[in-house]
Amino acid sequence: MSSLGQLEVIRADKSFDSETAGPTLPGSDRSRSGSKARNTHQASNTHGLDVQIANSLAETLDAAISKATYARSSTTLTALAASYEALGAIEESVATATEALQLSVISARERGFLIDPVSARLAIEILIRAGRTDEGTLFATSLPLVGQVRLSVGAMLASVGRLEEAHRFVDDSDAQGRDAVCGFLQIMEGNNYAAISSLRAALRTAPDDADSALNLSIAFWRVGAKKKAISTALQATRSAPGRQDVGLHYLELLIAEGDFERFDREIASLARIDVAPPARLFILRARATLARGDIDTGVKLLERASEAAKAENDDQAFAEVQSNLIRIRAWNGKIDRELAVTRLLKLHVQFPTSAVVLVSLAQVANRRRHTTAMQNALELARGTMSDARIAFVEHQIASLEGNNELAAEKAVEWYTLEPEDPNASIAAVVALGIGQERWEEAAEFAREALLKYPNEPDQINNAAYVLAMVGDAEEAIKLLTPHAKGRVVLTATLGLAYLASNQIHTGMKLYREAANMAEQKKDDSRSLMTAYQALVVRQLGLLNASDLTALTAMSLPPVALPDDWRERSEFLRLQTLAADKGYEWPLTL
Amino acid sequence: MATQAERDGWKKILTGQKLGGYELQECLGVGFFGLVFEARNMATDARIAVKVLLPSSDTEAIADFENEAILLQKLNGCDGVITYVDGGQENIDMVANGVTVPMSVRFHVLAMASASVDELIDDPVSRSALDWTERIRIFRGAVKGIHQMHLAGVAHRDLKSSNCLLMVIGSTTRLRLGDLGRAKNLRSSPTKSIEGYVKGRGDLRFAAPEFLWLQGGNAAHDFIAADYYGLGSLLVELATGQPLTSLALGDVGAVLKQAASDHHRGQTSDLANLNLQYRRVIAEVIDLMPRSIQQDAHVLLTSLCDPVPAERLARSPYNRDRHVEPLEWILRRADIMIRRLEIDAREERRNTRKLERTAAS
Repeated sequence: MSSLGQLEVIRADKSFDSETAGPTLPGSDRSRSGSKARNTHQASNTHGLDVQIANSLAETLDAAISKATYARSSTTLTALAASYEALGAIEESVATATEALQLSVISARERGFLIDPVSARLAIEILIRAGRTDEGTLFATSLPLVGQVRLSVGAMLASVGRLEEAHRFVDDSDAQGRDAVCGFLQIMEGNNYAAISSLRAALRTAPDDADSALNLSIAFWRVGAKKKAISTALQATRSAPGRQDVGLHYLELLIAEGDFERFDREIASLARIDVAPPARLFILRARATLARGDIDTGVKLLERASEAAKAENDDQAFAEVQSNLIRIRAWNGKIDRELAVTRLLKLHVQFPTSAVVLVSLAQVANRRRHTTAMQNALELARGTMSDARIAFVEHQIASLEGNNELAAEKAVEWYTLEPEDPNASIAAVVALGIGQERWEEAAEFAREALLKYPNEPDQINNAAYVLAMVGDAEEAIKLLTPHAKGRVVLTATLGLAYLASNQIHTGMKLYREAANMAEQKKDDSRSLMTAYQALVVRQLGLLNASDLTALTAMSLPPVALPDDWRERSEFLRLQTLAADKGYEWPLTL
Repeated sequence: MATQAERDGWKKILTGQKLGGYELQECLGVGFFGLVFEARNMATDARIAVKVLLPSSDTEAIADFENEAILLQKLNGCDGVITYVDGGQENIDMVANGVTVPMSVRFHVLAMASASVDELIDDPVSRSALDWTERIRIFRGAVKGIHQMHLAGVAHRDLKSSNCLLMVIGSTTRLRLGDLGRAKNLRSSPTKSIEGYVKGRGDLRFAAPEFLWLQGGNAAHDFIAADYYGLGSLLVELATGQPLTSLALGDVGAVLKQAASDHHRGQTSDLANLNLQYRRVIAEVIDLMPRSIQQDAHVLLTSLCDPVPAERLARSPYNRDRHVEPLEWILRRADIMIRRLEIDAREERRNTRKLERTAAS
């Protein structure tokens, strides 16, 4: 918090993709990701290999065509569909898989059972991989699938978000592996406690099931059982030491818990087995380094991550790295905010659905004129964002627009979704209290914040502000006194607390002390402080109760508003409040 | 690589031609590099199969064809491998634009098979009519053929149902392995650089995972491990009609593309990560089998189809088979499974008779 009532989130580790590993479908295809790559010899004749691959693909299709010509059955047609898919001939693949499934439907109707169930599963999978989820689901629900195949199809439907249909396949299944799929389905639905129970059962049957261990770790994390989440993630990494997604998830949890010692040990063990670091591993190392305050090394690691992401064609990681590099450079003062916003908007055009780019933008943007672009970007990226991130961005937009009511609503939503984020806590206290004068509600959040962050000056400042306004001025004074010395904002808030406890002289004296400190900084905080003082005096009713002349004499002399106050959320919040209350603007004594 | 039109053209040209005392009569199969004809031995009138290499084939295909002849002759004493009768290279007359041009044709003369296993399983109705005892016998026949080949120092490298031929001898049907075009003499040194082996060859839907991830090796144990995978995949085919790789790995083209990208960067992935994918498919396959053989089949498939090649070569998990060679314990398990199925069948017949007697009285 650089000034009163201003939430400064640019520094926060918010715009990294905080859930590298999502829930994993048990036994799902891990061809494109999820495997740790180890360095080996550099390929020498890549052209020759490309020719061999092209020949094999042609031979695969040729054999499948020949068989389907000889016997056109659900088996041979599914094989042909798979061959077309391998060649990238998606339309042909879809048409052929559809024909195979139609044959299966007709045959099942005639016989009363499915004679070629595994081909049907494969054909449905081909349709779903081709993005034909509706058709795949329709066939799945039309066929009398039983046993393991029924469970596999249910799991597949869950993985593409068809949760309701998936339940019909999974709930009554008695096939092996049901608990694992059930746990996956429950975690996808956000039913984390039920998922924990199912996944524990799955791991009792198959202790080396790394997918279930990963899912269980995610479920534990989501319910706040952090130690269990970390130990289960560790179990997953040991069950599948070659799984990249599992390894990254474990490292991510260690970062989130600030367990950098174990993080370093794990990184060292990866280096020992010569794991070629993927972009995501560089990102995690950068996050751990940045969190420990080593900005230069963190930036260097992000630059390496950027190169790796490019080589891996990992657009998401590239966008994440680039947006964070811009954010950190803006925070470091290497580039100004306006340039950072311009660059982030350019990056957004390149990656319009990237949640990370938008979150970085929301962290960097600090002027009202940025809100239109942020709003447009949010509409494009909304589908890829978690609810917590949407609430964060909407809160930032509302704050920059001076919409105090919406800012409060979104701050509470953000805090509800991310109660562990200290910035969400500050946002809720500031937006509800200062922005809306809903002091009692704000005080509840403030007390929670004091329990969670008893030594954080920013949290103490906001909590004390709200407590003073809600009638607990003595508690506020007690909280602030040990921390206020030499700190502008905390000294001003301590002044507020004394005013609230009716010790006007001490309160005004502390305000003046704070103003003198602010004067030395040569920024606009004196103007904001003066406005706050005028507001607080009105809110506490001192304007009517006290000797106005003496009060004016002791108060801070009026300071002109900065030229760009209409662009700044901290002034807009006060202006909106003043307008609601019918106070004159600018606020003065 | 010939197009379908070219192959159709050659089929037309070759039908009715005479090669080395054999008259090509009916084309039985069209492969990627050659054609197989039913032929008549003009001296004895015996029915025989003649495999002809497409004359437009490239040098690699020619080398494979020649290698097949050498290896088939080497394996002629093995009753699990198709019998090589004769072979050679002859000129046939080809008429083009009114001009007769002599064309050199390479051919193998082989014992005539009654059918190939894929003909029994490509149609789900006929597959379901094939009883499980028969399916396990077929599997056992393939294991025996591969075992004989390995003992003779040859790896097949292209095992699938279409290369498993059925020979009716008297009242029994025997399985013989055919199409050794990609086979490798394990006692000779590699003929290509390592790049020539990383991917393996042939239909990708049947390829062992190490080939799709471009991690194939050129040592004897690499070829043997790939054959073991082929045997597991054959059992999966007999149960489902689909090869294991296609069921476990999904879009094999995408896998290969990713692997090629890793390969270009000099990186390699851990195949053990595929364990859970294979486990899921094996569970599906086992589910389709009679209960009495499910446990043994599970052990066999888990061993033969391990995504990590070296793991396939491990000794038997059964204590009493620990001292025997890997494929011997598989043969023994196949025998046990056949016996169990025979007992099931006997029980079923007995129960049916009982029911009939009860109904009659």
